[in-house]
Amino acid sequence: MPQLDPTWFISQFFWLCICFFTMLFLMSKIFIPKIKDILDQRQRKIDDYLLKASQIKEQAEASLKKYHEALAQANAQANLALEQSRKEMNDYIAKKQNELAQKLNTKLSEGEAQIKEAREKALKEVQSMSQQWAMDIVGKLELSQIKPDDIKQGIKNVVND
Amino acid sequence: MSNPMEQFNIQPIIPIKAGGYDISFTNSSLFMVLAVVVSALLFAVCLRKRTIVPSLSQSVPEALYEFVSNLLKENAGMEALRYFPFIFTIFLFVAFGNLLGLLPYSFTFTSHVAAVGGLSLIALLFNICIGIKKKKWGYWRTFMPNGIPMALAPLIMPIEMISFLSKPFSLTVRLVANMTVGHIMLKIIAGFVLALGVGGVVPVLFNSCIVVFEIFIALLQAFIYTVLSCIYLSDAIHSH
Repeated sequence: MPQLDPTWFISQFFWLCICFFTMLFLMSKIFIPKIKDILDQRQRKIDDYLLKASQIKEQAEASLKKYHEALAQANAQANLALEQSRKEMNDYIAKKQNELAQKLNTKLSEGEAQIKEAREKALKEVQSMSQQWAMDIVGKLELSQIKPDDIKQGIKNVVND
Repeated sequence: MSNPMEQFNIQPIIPIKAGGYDISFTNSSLFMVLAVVVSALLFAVCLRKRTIVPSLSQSVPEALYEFVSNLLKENAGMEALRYFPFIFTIFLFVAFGNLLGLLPYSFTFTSHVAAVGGLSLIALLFNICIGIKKKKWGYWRTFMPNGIPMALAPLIMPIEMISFLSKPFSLTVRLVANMTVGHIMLKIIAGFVLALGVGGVVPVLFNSCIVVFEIFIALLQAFIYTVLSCIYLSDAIHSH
């Protein structure tokens, strides 16, 4: 087997050392640093992007929190305003109802007074007319024993009953 | 039919003698140099324009880097990442050696005991250096597992040393055997093509399938070699 022929052992080992260490030098001083450099740059870029993404996420979360807070505050203000409006409305309605009731009571009292006055007036007129009619009848019937004061008193009693 | 072992013959290209030793530039040396040149060219071309969003060509060296880096982290921990260039070079050297050997008329230096054994020896020496640098004299405890009575040290330490020294041997034999067998099989089947005439289409098709399989084996063996190197490195850093 040529593999076991020691004639070329030293030559092969010599050239192996030269080639291997040349390759080791080229790799360690030229190519590996180049690859490492680009991989590091890429890693830094990825880390930067991840950092930016996490910062943007934090900002978005903060904005969302602010939005929820503003929404809650707006709701609270709206509820407060609504409650205030409702109260004002109720107060206004109650006030108007009171005013109306007072007006109605006044009108009622006035009406009642007018009715009373009209009634009294009518009764007086009825009384006067009845007296007149009774006196006319008494006059025509010549009932001298019945005096005008009696007639007046009699009609007054009837009307008052 | 030609001898399938002929493809493993080493041919000197530029004869060189130094201090009485023959260090000729051979076809094996040529493919070692090619492995370095091709991998360096590939990396240089792929990393010519580096962008944050990688192009298809840029993602090739990046994927290899991530792959070997994860392999090292999983097998030897984060501490071993400082030795990443060494492990990365081992992976590329073996992978390119295996893959270049699959080209027609090429030479597979990873099928040679001296080349792979030399590489395993370098890895072993590297691990020993790291172990000694990290643990100083305590490195000898590597050969004396925890909980073993000192009385058993004369028996256990040689066994542990043999086990330790057999690591590069097993690495070498595994890779060399796989590469040798694969190439012999390709050569034998290729030998049938002309012998069978028109029927030679069958071995051609079969060889095409075998080549695909061999590409897979080439990468798998580079992966296994690297994983085991990572494990041995982990032993040097964390053992006992």
